[in-house]
Amino acid sequence: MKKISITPYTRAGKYKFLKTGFLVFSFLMFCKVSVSSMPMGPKEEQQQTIEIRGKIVDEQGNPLEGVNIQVKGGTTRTATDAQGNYRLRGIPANSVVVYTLVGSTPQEYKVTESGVRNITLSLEEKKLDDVVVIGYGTVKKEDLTGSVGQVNMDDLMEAPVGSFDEALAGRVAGVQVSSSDGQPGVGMDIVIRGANSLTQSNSPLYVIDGFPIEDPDNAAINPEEIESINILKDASATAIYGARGANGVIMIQTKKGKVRKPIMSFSSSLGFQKIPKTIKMMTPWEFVNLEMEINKARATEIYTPADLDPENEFYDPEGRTLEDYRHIKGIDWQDLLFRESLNQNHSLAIRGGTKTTRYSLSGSIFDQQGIIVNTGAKRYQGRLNIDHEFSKRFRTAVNINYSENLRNGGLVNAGGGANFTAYALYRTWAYRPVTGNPNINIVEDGFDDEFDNPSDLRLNPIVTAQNDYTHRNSYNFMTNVSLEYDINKKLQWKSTFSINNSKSENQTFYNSNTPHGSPRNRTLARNVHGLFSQGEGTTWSNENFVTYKNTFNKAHKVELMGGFSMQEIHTETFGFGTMYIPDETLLMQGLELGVPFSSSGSGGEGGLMSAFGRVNYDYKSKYLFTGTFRADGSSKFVKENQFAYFPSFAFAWNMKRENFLQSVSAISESKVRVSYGATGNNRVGYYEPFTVATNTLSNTYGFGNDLPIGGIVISKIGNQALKWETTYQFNLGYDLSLFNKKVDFTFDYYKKNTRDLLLNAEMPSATGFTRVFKNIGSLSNEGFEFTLKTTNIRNKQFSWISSFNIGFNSNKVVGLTRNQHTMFSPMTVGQNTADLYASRIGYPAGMFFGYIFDGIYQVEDFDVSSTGAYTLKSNLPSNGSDRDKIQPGHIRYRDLNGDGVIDDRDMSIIGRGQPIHAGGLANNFSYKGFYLHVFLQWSYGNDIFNANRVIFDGNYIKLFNLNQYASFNDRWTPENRSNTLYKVGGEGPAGYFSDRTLEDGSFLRLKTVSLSYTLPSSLVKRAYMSRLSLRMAVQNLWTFTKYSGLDPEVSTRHSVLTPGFDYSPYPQARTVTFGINAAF
Amino acid sequence: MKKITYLFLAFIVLSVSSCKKILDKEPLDFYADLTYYYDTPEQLDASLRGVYDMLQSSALYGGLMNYRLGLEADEGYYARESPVSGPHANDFTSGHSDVNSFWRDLYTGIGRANAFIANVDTNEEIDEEYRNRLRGEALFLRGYYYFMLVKTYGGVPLILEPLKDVDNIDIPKSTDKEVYEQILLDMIAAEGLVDGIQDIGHGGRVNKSAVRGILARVCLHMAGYPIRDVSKYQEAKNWASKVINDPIAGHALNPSFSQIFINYAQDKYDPKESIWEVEFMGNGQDAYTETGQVGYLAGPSSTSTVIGECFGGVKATSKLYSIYKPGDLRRDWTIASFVYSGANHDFSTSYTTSTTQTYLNNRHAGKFRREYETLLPKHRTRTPQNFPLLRYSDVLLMFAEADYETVHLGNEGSNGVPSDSARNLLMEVKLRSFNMGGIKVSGGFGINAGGSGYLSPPKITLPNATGTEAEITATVTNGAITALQLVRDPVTGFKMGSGYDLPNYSYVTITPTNGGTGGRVNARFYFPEDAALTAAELSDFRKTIQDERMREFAFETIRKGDLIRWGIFEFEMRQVANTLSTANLAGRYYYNYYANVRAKHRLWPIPARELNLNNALVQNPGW
Repeated sequence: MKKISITPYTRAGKYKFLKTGFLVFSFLMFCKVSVSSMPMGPKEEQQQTIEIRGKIVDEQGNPLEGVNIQVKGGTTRTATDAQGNYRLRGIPANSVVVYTLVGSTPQEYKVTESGVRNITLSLEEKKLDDVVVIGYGTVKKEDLTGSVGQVNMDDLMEAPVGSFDEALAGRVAGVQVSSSDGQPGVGMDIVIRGANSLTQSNSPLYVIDGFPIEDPDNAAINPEEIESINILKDASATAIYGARGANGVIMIQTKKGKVRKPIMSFSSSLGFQKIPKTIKMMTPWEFVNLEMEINKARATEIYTPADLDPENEFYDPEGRTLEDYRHIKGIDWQDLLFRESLNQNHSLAIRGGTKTTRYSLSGSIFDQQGIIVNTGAKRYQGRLNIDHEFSKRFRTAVNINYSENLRNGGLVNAGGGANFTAYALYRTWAYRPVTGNPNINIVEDGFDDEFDNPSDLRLNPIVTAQNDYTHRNSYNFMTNVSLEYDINKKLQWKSTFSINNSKSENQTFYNSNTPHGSPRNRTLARNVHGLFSQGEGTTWSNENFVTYKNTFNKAHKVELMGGFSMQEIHTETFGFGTMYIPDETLLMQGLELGVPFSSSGSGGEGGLMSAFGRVNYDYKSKYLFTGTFRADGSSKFVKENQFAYFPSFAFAWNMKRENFLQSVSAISESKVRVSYGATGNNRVGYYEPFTVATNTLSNTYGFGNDLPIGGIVISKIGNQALKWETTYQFNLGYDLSLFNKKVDFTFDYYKKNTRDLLLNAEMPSATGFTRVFKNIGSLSNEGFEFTLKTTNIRNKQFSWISSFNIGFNSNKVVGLTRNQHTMFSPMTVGQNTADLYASRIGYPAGMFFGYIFDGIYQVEDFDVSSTGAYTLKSNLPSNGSDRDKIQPGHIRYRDLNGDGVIDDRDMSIIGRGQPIHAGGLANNFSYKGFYLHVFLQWSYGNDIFNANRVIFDGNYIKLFNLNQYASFNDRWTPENRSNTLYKVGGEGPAGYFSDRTLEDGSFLRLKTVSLSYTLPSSLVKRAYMSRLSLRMAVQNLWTFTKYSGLDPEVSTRHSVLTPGFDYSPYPQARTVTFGINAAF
Repeated sequence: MKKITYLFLAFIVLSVSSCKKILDKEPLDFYADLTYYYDTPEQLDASLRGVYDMLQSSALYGGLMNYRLGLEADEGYYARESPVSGPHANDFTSGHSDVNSFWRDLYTGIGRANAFIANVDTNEEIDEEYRNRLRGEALFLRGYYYFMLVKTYGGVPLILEPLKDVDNIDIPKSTDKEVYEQILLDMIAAEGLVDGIQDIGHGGRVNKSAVRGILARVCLHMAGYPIRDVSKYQEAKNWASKVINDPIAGHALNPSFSQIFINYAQDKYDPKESIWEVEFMGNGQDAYTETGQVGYLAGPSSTSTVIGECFGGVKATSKLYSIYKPGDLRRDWTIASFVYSGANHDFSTSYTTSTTQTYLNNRHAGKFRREYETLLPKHRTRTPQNFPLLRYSDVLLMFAEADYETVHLGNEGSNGVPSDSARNLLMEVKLRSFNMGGIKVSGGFGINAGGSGYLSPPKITLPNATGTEAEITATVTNGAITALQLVRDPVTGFKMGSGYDLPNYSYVTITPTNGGTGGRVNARFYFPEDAALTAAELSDFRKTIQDERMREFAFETIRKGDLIRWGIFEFEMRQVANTLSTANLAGRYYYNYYANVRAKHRLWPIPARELNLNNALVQNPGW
């Protein structure tokens, strides 16, 4: 619940900069005058009753109903009618009249005589930064003791995206938001203050309208409906969520209705998406030259039959010569694959309310087509929020949200089909730009007949994309009811009841023109097949807590909160697939014709019981102390380990309140915060303590060709000793505000130690198991965060506000399984798998591991025999191939151990997967009705392994007919003695990962630029509108990076252990949208 | 307000009482109580199938063992240049994934067996005889998995109980001898429990003969290097003899060597010859995952879906080719003398004719051929072919070897006269594949007289019709026969026929018929004396047995183990390297596989991953 703080009468005059808008400004001036004209005491004159009347309107001139008008300290009161009119009679002269409306700042006036008093009440929200939503309550920002990042929703809303998390990157210091790539409908990875866990989820806990939920579908929420997002970062703020708080907490509040006549607001935007960059590929002439180098005879037969000896059976005088290719324009497959796609977003909301009942009803349609055909995401969503007062002391609030998220398109970065050529972008880049025979139409044929390599299933990238049939739908229903009762003025009770139900449905159909379903697929060999699965998860929760607030001796303010909560979750999934479907035209409905090959069913249940409490003590707002405590019990652990306790303490010193600073007018706020506490993480499966036996066909064995019914095996070993993982976090913060809050500065230092890591730990396989969940290992994260917000210029016409944030995090593996020194993570590129990542004690998790590229062997490195044969000089190391095969132009690696041989002993850490710092800079300009928002975002210090280049900038296994990036034109030849690119066939042993293709992934991106214009209200009033604004926004306008791939914001196989891997990514699109916002 | 407070308090009480329900969750999709899984005869059966299942694992007989682990030793090599390193090149480290997955999957099988053995008596209501039979199979499989481990890695941790404490993982190695002793314990116990092969009806399941035969193999390994407990020869002989002299099992050799493998391709069982085999079935068009890659990974390479695609991952050495004597039908079945090209394969033109070292070292292993699969359509990369683990001929040769060594107690310096039974059993195996009465391809086959007046190539017929299937084509130039060719055959190499009962002296003159006159063709036939053991073979009977085993079991994953137990692994591998070197083939990628062999390669290293996680392990010498 959002709290409205009452502005005291005596302080009204101090507000000068708070309100925007001329009306409010002048009104405040008036207010000041009226205050200063109050010297005479109210009791000086004998009482005489007077009467006032008038009309109360909002800033747009709309009449306000239900405004309470009351004599201060008296009982006489009335309220405005539907037209905003009121009449208050029989009030003593010189009394102070208070105009109150929920959702606006109360106003007070002294009335001396009868008359008309027309009032304009500002309905502007209380500035979000005044009140911060924290766990089980709110706190004035001034009184905050913990570290809480606030998202500026106005800024966030400038980004033309469908889901709030897509615009979150760079908005809050220490909150790292990244996407695996640009595929529509794929969620973002949010990590707050570095990863705590190596093998388990590092996602924060979400609390949506007070309802804690572990892995929500963020796309289910319409960003337009979000009132505020607060990100709890330090232990003092998160420990109230105990066992789920270690990864940070994202608090989301949705918009509520207000006491007013219903206002309908409508916003609509239409946009276009386009790929900002493609990779330059070889031209036909370059390509044919390359093929000549790979296989002269074959290339000549296919591409230049006219150049052949007339005796040759492939000689064709009508055919092409090599020179012909100089003039042929190649097929630009990227151009054919990527399209300009449409993006639309419409939402409609009606909000209003009476004094007792406020409501907000909203709905939205979002439709984002992907820049690759057959990909996209859609959302249909509706929400109802109702706040009702049964009595002055008893209130209820109901929030209901329903959303359908329909996503289509197979994941471009997931190959599947057990074949590396099943990746969409691999196909696109690999497909040759030209054919030898001009009559072959490779653009329309699903398969290139001139090319037949059974191990490389290379199908037409366009035809396969057109035939893709993948639907991932989710249906999310979330309802949340709260009851609040003021037991007395100091004691408040609140209960919330929530149910969240989400269903998912996946449909995949692979027809014969897809890599998976193609009869040419040798490894999968299911021919036409389809899969259907559905899942359902239901969570209910109940939270009850009481809050007690009191102030003793005007100096000691105490707030106590205590409560308990329960939560249960039930999930189940079912699915099946059939293959060899004889009729592919029926699509999913044809599944019944196929041979079943997979079926699945699984379920899980979990429960969480907790008790929690918080003490806030505040001495004259100078010294602030917060202590929180939570006890969590989870069904995921056995009885002895079920409960864990998470305390935290925080202290803040509000220096501004001290005498020595009160006189310093330049400083508006100066506060030091310190906190320490423990939080937990329980992100493991529901039944990890249990040993699991399964009975499946995949574990069976047929005797004498019988048809076995099942095979029972112990598939997983349980660990009864499993318990909570704990993160201990220290935070030191400083808030400084200068020049009447024109400059706001926040600094935080933190150090997190995570112990008893819930690690999917490796086991010696002699035990019969390769992994088990254990509480073993530890990690630390240490960092700094700076946030600076400045109002650079502010006057009636023009304002310029900047906000800047930067977060540094250094992550370190402190311990692993027992004496394990390094955890390796292998990666597969093409046909080869090798270790590419190492998480090593003393280093950050997910470091790149491999060989060090050491240039190219040059002619001088060889002894030349009398026959002209090159032999590598004996003092030079080999490259892992046989020495006698190494020739000038071959790749060279650094021989780290100096034994003259390159083998796995020469692998070392070659780069870092995590950035050193990341942040954002937003600038907002407003001039009259114009508003310009410019947002820059960056990430610095992380490397990206551009695995595409292993194949397309070097052709790692000398595949014929495989187009290459244009950069490979610079390869070593006797004429062009490159030291950066080996010659054709000089790649050395396949499957070696080196820093040759490891690139600096730092980037600075002009993420959002948005310009809007609000029409003058006098103009729009004629159209019965209260507000109309037009907007143009651009997302991903410009990126500055040295990274050579499509986009540096990429991590196609993302996990803590394997960051920054780029293979066949879905490119990030540039989006341009045009929209209107209107209110009626 | 009071009312609400009471309500609130009541609510708390109610909630706390439901606490237990919330925190006490039984799994939904499996049973937490493992005894559930061992409660009925069907469940015991399903659980035992899980133990067998690991035989099909892709790191074992379901994949890697068929081609990339270097188990064929001097018989052949992995037929690809890349990857450069690995066991197939004898160039690898303890971190190699093949070294790790082999270990992992064998121990997974052991873990499954341990779980089964520990739980088989959960429900004592189940017929005891049934439980014992299954227990026997599980004990045997555990022993077999340890046998594979100890052959490959030497002493390994001996784990015989299900894992109880996930933190108790520093398990030291037992010595190789201790592992072997445990294998004997398990297998001997199994011998008394499992069914006879005729009760089962096929070799797809562990049976008494399989246990006895494998026990003979285990004992031979214990008698050999590195354990060298020569007393085990007698035990090996006893076990082999139990198989041979079991009238109920009624083992006998299949008269046709090639038919044994055609049977595997066609999912036919021959319990007399094929005592134990790894089961594979299906073509991937069913809900099962029971297909394997026998015939796909190693076989004559093929890209035809009609013949059945074959990766052709193993090629034979000239050493293997040369060890076969003329008339031995195993040679051209074991080593493909042809290549497949296209779907409707014309065998008459696709033969490798050259016998230079270059070509002899470039022929594909041909023992397992997809061409014969009958289950259609053929999967592109997966096959239903079973893989032999123990054939009767192995038992016969093991007996012969054990018998011989028992007499001479393994004394390498002493070579004596083999017993009659040892000799006879060896001859039984040899003669089964000897083309008695077939035309000798070389040595006398040719034109006796060209004749004249032939207008077209004449049909050449043998003088009497006791034998079958020989086919000779002639080339006629100017009316005279100028060239002769025995027709090529993918199974026997040539259509030299068999069973011709012609005089055992000089040449037999065959008269062509077809209008012309005067043409005569000479031929000689294989006779028993051609097959008889030579004096040299008799005087070095140990070597004779070793060679016979190579001829009989090439590409059945037996050779490397044999060479090591005989103590001649490095020597024999070096022989191949020398041959290649002499033939100027040292530049070929496969040369390294032979040249790289050192003493340390008798054992693989303990996988690096295992060493990292189990602090009590010690690496094998040399690694």
